[in-house]
Amino acid sequence: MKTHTDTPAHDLDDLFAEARAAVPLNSDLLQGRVFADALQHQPKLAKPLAKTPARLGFWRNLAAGLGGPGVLAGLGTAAVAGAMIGFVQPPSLSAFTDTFFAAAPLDDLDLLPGVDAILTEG
Amino acid sequence: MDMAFDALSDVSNEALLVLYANGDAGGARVLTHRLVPRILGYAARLLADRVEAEDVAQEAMLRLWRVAPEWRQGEAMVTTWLYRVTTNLCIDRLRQRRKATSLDEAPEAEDASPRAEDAMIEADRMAALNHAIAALPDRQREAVILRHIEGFTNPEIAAVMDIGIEAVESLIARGKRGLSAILSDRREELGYEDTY
Repeated sequence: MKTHTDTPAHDLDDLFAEARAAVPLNSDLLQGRVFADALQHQPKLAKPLAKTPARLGFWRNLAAGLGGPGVLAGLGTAAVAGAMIGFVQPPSLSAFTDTFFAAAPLDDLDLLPGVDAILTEG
Repeated sequence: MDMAFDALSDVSNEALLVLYANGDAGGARVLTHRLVPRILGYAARLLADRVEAEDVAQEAMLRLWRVAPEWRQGEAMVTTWLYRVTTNLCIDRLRQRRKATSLDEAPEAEDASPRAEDAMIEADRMAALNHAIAALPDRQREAVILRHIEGFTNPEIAAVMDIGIEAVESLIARGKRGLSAILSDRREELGYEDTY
């Protein structure tokens, strides 16, 4: 119950309104300290995980053993080319090889001489 | 790279805190500029001591920086959280102050008359209000300041003070009655005429 000595509510509301409108306390120095704290305690972003060396696969191991991927590529190309030449037997190449093997046909060449041949020749 | 101050002026407090946690110091700069004056004023009213209020405001903000990495948007409002921390820090200080006062020899009772005379000057109306607010019980003081000076809604005050809305309403009503009674002796000093 409001008594005669009470401050009317509207007077109190006036005072509150003045308090809300009052210039805030100067806090420049405090803001500087607070921001310094913020920088000091700022979470550091997680460092990216160290790159682990990838496991070398078969081909990588092979290339490394032979001297690098360039060497492996050269070998592969040569193998494919040899297989194709052997399969296709281009006429120009056959004529060229015939000059070498005409004197000694391949079917006469004995790469694994038998025991008889060894015994015969002593 | 930090975002420019102006570019962040419309960003919510919660998003700024996440920015800060992600390494953008600009978020902290805007939050500092936005929040420190408010909690400093609030703590100063609760404690009636500028130096202690600065300590409390700095500590509250420090706790905000520390909690930033775990902050989840949508779960809480930065202002509510910060005012709650500030309130609790102020309560701790007030308790320590009372404990120290009870252990030491009781200081000379402060003569209120010089304050009353000061309050007669129109410029000191705020001093009179602050003096009256400082005389309220702690919880009433918190509720009245949050409602009528900081402009919080009752549900927001309930969240800050961790009590129910009805309790907030009761605290505010009793606080205003208390203020009214304290200030009634100073009506003339405050420049009001007795109209009834």
